[in-house]
Amino acid sequence: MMKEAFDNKKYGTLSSRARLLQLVDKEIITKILDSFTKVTGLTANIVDVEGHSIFSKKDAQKNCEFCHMIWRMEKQKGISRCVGAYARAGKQAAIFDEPYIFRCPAGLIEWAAPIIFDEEHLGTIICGQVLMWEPEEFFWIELEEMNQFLTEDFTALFEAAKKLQVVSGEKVQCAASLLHVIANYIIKTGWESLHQKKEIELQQLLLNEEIQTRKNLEDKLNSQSLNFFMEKEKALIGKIKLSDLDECRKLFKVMLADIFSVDGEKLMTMKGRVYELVVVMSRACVEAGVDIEKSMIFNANLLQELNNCYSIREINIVAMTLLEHYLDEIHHHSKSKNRVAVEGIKGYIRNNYHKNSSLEEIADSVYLSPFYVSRIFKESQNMTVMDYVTKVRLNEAKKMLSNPRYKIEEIAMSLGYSDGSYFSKVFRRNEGMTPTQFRQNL
Amino acid sequence: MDQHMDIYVKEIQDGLTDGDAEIVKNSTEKALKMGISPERIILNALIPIMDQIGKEFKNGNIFIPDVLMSSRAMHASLYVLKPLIVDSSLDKKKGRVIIGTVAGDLHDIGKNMVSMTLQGDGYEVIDLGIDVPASSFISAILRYQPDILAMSALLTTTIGELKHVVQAIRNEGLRDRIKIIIGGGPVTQDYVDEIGANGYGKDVFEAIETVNKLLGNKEGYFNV
Repeated sequence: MMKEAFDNKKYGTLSSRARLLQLVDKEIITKILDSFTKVTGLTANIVDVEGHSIFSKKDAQKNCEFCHMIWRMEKQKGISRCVGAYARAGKQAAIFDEPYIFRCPAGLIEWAAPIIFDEEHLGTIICGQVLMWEPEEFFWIELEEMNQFLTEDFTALFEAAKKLQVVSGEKVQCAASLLHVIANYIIKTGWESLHQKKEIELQQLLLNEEIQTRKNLEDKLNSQSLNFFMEKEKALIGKIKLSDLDECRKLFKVMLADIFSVDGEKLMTMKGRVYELVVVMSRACVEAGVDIEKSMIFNANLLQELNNCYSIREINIVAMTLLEHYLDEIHHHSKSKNRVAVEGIKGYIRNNYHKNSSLEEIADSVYLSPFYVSRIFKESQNMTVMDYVTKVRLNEAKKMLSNPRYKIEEIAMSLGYSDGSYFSKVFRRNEGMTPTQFRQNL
Repeated sequence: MDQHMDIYVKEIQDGLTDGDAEIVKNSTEKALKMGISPERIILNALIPIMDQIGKEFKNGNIFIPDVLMSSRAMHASLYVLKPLIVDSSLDKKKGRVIIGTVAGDLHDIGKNMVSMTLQGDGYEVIDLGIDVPASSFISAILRYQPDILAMSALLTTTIGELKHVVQAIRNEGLRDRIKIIIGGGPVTQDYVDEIGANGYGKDVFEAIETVNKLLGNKEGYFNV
């Protein structure tokens, strides 16, 4: 089911060189090309569309002495003939999608096999640096003509040229065809392993997250319409308002999974939907107290980052990172905001513990919803509101118990308990002894 | 006597077909010694064979390595002929031609043939090479003040570039200063009319003929 989503890839703004490096496994390539070289005695290199080698000096094959000399001379004169020739040859090969055999500016025979993926020319295998004829008088004339502006003294260059391999036209043609096959193989395997990796990652992302979160959500939100994205969006906004960060995280992941698992969806569309989702989330975050300036900066950066994504995995990482930024902001904000609320609640309870107040009444005292109050209270105090009520009452009870004047029944009443036996039960459950025992232990 | 000469011409032809630069170079030298004129060598040996090789390649009978070898052999012959051609026409240049390929022509054999034949016919030729952008054509026109601009595009994918260059020249206000001729595989008279060029040649001979016509048929080697 994912297949089409991958097949419809568009790759953002990644350069062809970067894409080439992403597709090919340098180690495997080096192995293949080195074997090719061992068998044929011909050097091979891979260049990007501009003609620059994708290998570092360390990875690159050792080129022939002749080419080294030419390069050195070119460098001294500040020209890059070779690079230009490779770029042109690659372009030419890509136009016909077949190997292109050419004479390099210095006078040798080389050939280019294009690496084409998704109708885009990403790079070229360049091979050769040979002659198709035994060096004869005219060859020395040619060399001098072709390289006259590089040097005056040709002695060393001629010596190096004498060491060049002489290869028949037929062999050149075969080597070029073989390299073309290799180029296609490189792309195919590179693509397949990339594809596989993505597929596995995506499947994991989807399975783990989806199954778990769906379960949790179904329980938590108890909603039959969870299959609808818009419903989830509303739920997400709700969770943000409650600063319920864990739930936000779960919901957001599920929604991302929803976006990524649409059959045949283009990457562009996915990016668009992810951006929408973030905008919706960010608005809710701003309402929940996140600084609007910060939110704008976050979202602007997101646009930039999405642009540079060329896989679901990367979009996922970018979106999740941003989510964490927002959640952090909410966390900081709600911490300070909640502290005030929690202190207010505690104050109210300490002053009204005898009233047998319901959670609603307590929440009303700080103008917040009971649901919200119970959540922020538990988060910061590690106990429920009602636990705290009990704690305050029992502290009061202990004070009263130390005063023999009060009967147990009286104490229970003044603390808002309906009867003495219930009070005793609560006392024992919390203190490990009955009020009477407590009194005796004093 | 003609038969005698034919032997040398034939030797050059065979050398070209085999892609043997050394043989071609030596045979050309021998032919000159025997009193065969450079233009005759070009006309009877080089052009027909290179033409034939181009056709054979198009038909898939021979491959690029063969074409490369033959073209190298042709250059060996030209290397011998060049001083004579250039010297002989020094005092009576028929005109100045800028030539170039708009985008990678296949080893620019066609362009080189035209370039060399034009030189042989008494024109001064400035060859800008292959993959020449419009801006380079324009700066060359300003610099060299040529009579003719000759451009080739071998591929259907690059033929549009011819139109682009002509338009660029027009935009620079240089169109009236020069005659433009085009050539290459996909070029037709209709296309010439469409882009507003002055003419085209479907092969080397036609190209020379067209240039001569455009410049008023001054006497040269190939139109005595």
